[in-house]
Amino acid sequence: MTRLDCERALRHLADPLAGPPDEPVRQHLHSCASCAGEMRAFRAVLEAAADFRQSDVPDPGEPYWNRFLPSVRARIALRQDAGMPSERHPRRIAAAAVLLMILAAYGALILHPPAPGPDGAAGSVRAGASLDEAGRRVDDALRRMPAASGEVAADMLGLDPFQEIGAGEILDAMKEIERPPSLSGSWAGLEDDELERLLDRLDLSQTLELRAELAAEKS
Amino acid sequence: MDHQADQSPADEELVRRFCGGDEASFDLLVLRYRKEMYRIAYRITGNHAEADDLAQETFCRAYTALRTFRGESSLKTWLCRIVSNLSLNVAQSARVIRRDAATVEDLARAGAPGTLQTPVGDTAMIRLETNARLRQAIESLPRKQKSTLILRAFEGLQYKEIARVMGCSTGTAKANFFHAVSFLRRELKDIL
Repeated sequence: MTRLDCERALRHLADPLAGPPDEPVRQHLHSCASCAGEMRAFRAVLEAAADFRQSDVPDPGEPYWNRFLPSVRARIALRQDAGMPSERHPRRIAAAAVLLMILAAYGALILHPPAPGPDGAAGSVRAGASLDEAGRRVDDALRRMPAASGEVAADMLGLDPFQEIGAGEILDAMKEIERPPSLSGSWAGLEDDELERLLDRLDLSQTLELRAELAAEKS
Repeated sequence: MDHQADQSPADEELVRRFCGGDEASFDLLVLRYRKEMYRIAYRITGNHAEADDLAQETFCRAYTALRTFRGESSLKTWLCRIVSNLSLNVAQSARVIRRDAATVEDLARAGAPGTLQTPVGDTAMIRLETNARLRQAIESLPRKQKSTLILRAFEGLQYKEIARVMGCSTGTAKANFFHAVSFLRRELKDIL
């Protein structure tokens, strides 16, 4: 037995799945207890691994597998909407229009909640009524919004596009958006830098037409 | 493997058709490899939600990049590379909540996996304990050794393919596998 024989046997141990050892290695394993022990130990580990392999990944089940391809397709479609210039632009504009409607509906209410009335209750009643009206306008806007725009809008707001989006979710997401201090229910009240910040926040930097439109409104 | 049928077109043909505009060919590739990609992601992350996300992400990236696929490796190897890299990145971050990690005691209380009413005998208990220890040992392997072990021992890839997936030489892949098995051997010495 030589050190070379042991090294050769150990090299085989590195690839036991490739098949049985060749004749010289087999002969060496017969005469070298140390290498034979190594071989047995490695085989025991790999046999345990083979057994483990049968049970270590639970099958999520047929309904999951049936949903898998549609989910991949939906994910691809969403990215295409967001990333392909030829389709992206009009859809983003549509989504932006919806967001503007939402902002118009909620903006004043978020930034300037009605002051309480003299009895402390009338203000709450007015606020409730305004919120209901704004909610109706948002729901109406969402109903009329093309599905693809809804996904883009959801993306802009950081919402899960596969969840049904209602006025409540939109409002919660809108609250996360930086509020320009001078917004008073109209885009026209925004300062240039505030408008820039808000547009950046909404990821509308590429919707140049919208910017032009807003600039025209301001002037 | 999740192949539809022996007569279904080969990967190369499906890739060619997809590049020619046939979207349905991509769907066939997803159906063919979805389970393997999920399995690899699950084995690396140990978490269904992550494995689901990563397997889907693998096909999304493949969809975008397939037109640049040059066929230097098999499509399966190429997909394995995507899913392995994505999974290793996720597993390395702290985002993954580790797998269900049932203890032997949990399993004993519950019966054999999937059969809640079945009592667990000694042999089954030993097997469960071995599997639990093995799982723990695999999860504590360095990331490259872990991936190599998974791809070789569980997915049956050849070293040449693993080398392509891992971006290393065949010799390095063999060495990683050897070190991984040596580590498992040390960790499980008392029960194997």
